[in-house]
Amino acid sequence: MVCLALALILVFVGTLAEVQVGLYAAQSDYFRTFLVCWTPPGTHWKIPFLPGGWLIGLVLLVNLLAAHIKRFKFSRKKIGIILIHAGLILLLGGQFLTELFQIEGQMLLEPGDVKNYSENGRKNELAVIDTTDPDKDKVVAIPESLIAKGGDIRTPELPFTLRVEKYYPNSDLAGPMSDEPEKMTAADGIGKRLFFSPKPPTRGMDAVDLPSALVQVVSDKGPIGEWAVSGWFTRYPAFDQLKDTVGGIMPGVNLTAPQSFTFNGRTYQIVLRPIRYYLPYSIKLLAFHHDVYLGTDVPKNFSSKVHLNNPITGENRDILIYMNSPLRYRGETFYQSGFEPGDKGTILQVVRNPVSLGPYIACSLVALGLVVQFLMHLFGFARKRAQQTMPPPVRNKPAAPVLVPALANGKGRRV
Amino acid sequence: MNISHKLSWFAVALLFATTLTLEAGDQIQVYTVPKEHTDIPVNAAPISWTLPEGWKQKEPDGVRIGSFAIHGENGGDAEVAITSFPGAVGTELDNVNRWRRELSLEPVGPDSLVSEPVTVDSSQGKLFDIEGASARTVVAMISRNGSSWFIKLRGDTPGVAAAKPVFLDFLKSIRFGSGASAPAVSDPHAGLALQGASNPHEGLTPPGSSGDMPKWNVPAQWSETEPSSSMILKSFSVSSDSGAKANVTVSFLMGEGGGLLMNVNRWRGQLGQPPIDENQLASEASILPTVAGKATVAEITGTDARTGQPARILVAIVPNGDKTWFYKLMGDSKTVEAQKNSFVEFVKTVQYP
Repeated sequence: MVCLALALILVFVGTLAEVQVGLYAAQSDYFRTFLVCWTPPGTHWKIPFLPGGWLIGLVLLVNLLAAHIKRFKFSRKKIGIILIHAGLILLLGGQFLTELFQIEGQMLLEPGDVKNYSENGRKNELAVIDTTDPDKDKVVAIPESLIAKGGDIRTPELPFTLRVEKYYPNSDLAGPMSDEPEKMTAADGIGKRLFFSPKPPTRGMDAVDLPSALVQVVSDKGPIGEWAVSGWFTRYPAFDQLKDTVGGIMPGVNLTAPQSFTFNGRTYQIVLRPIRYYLPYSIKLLAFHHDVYLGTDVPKNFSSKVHLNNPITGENRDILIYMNSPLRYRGETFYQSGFEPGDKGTILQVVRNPVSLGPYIACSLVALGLVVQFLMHLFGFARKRAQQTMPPPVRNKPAAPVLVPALANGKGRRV
Repeated sequence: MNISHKLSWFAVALLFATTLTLEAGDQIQVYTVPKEHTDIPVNAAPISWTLPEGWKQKEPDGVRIGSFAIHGENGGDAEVAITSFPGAVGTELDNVNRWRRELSLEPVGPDSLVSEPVTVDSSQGKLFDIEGASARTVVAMISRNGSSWFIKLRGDTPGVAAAKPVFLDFLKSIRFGSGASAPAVSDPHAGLALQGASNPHEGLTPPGSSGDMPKWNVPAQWSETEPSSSMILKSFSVSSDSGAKANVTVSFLMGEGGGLLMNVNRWRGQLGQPPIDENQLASEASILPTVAGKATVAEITGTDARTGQPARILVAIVPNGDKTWFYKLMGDSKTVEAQKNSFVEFVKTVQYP
């Protein structure tokens, strides 16, 4: 009862907060967390004031488990109840594990494109890539949460320090003549000519923040350079909007090319990009079809014909992915999610969920338990009903003793 | 505490620890991946050159790709600017008359155009040499891959005369980078080379249908006309009693659309006016309250480079959401003055989706 009441309060408070911070932030801060915290202005403290969705769900799950363990007594009559509870436990536990372990990304492909990675739809990383080797790249991926803290980032994997001088969680383009009070300009690279200004975090359900950061690369001997990195260069459809907005001013400039520098004879690229999830195989888009109902613009079907190449297993085959018919391959599921405007390309949703079968098994258990419980009650009811309508069986009574009159001696005796 | 309680607490502790471990893991990841092969060179410059001795290279701004200052030994000063725009930026005559006006010279007709052929990195172009009373302009105009390139030497007459030979050598040293042409892309995320201005209105529902188009209250005396380019969303024509005409256009760009000052200077250039700086803009522009918020209004008077006639531009810039809307009334000065109130009312009452 306490958990349910807290859940009600949490939903109410979280819904109100969504107005201020947006859907995604409200989900992260209130529901996908153990504790809902408040940060006093000007500090980095996190003071919890409400249990989060995970904690309430966890306590509910533990309650269910504990009740089961404490009161568990196997009985044929309770098989149905046991199955139902087992299904519910599996459903709650499976959902919890999904929250922890599921990886979801997107793969944008235009015909002819080959990719071996998907990209996170919201989260970003600062990637410093050693591209010196002709055959492979060494990637040092720094999560955005570390960049947000600012200051120096040092790792033994890099021979220099990354100094985050500015960071905007969300940003907008600022033209060289614009009158924004704060603009990010860099000493090197595209940031010398293309500027960014801070923007409030987005609140829309489908909108995504486009962060920007000013990063100085510093070696033991002094600064190597300073670059502005941004989601505007790497996240779809922002880089298309960038081309539309800035294209006339900077023709011939490759706005989305990675920015690079050299140090100690090695070449590095620095880029702020969506978090990448690499795959041991590649997907090539052969063709994309967007069919509409004849005479209308109503979509009838989206389909992507792709070629899968797995150099480890030697697989090389063409596959058709379309609505309600995803590709399931080696733990990943590729869904036909969307398409680029003008049918330029396809957008596949790539999901890795190690407990993806959990909900199916859980629902099956619950359904089975309900059916078993129902049938047991049904048969029991039918049996009782049958017993009530039939007359009781007649039973043979022992004969009453008969007194036999006495013979010669005059005394009677029982026979 | 019986066994069931112990098991319950153990389950809670295990799950909590698992979650904390995972949540605390915003760690730096290091991995090796096969190289992404693309045809896009990293940081491909659109144009490169050999800097002549004595020229001082200045920082490029949003419009100028290259900018140089030349201080002549005999006191003459000059500057060189490299600019590029998608498509054709007016005709040769339009541009020549614009440069002539910058030198306070009268415009000329097409029969009076004088130029020499010039080659810049195997692209054929034309070299124009225009001399005014005290200043001179030498411009190389080249069309390449759908863009118009202008390499202009300008300054006082002695300075340009001294710098011209070096300028011609400088033209020979120019190389257009691979970023200036369409590359073969295998991965759209590796880069996009620009191939002229794309239509910012692509994807919008057509006029007259429902969707994300604003609603305008068009004055009765305005007649809708066919937009003259894909950059214009709506176009209206209005005539005065004397037959003089003015034209109203509506367009938008995503984001800030390049910024206020850059656009104002562009329009000033259309009327042969010199560019202004931010301080001058602040004193000349005014704020107009509209339904959607505040609009910035600027008024420019000059001579239309295309017609050679006195003209006036009244423009309102309205930021709304993720777009910046541009409303421009341009034409004969008296007609623009007569339509000013209608134009202001038109801009004020636009209802955005």
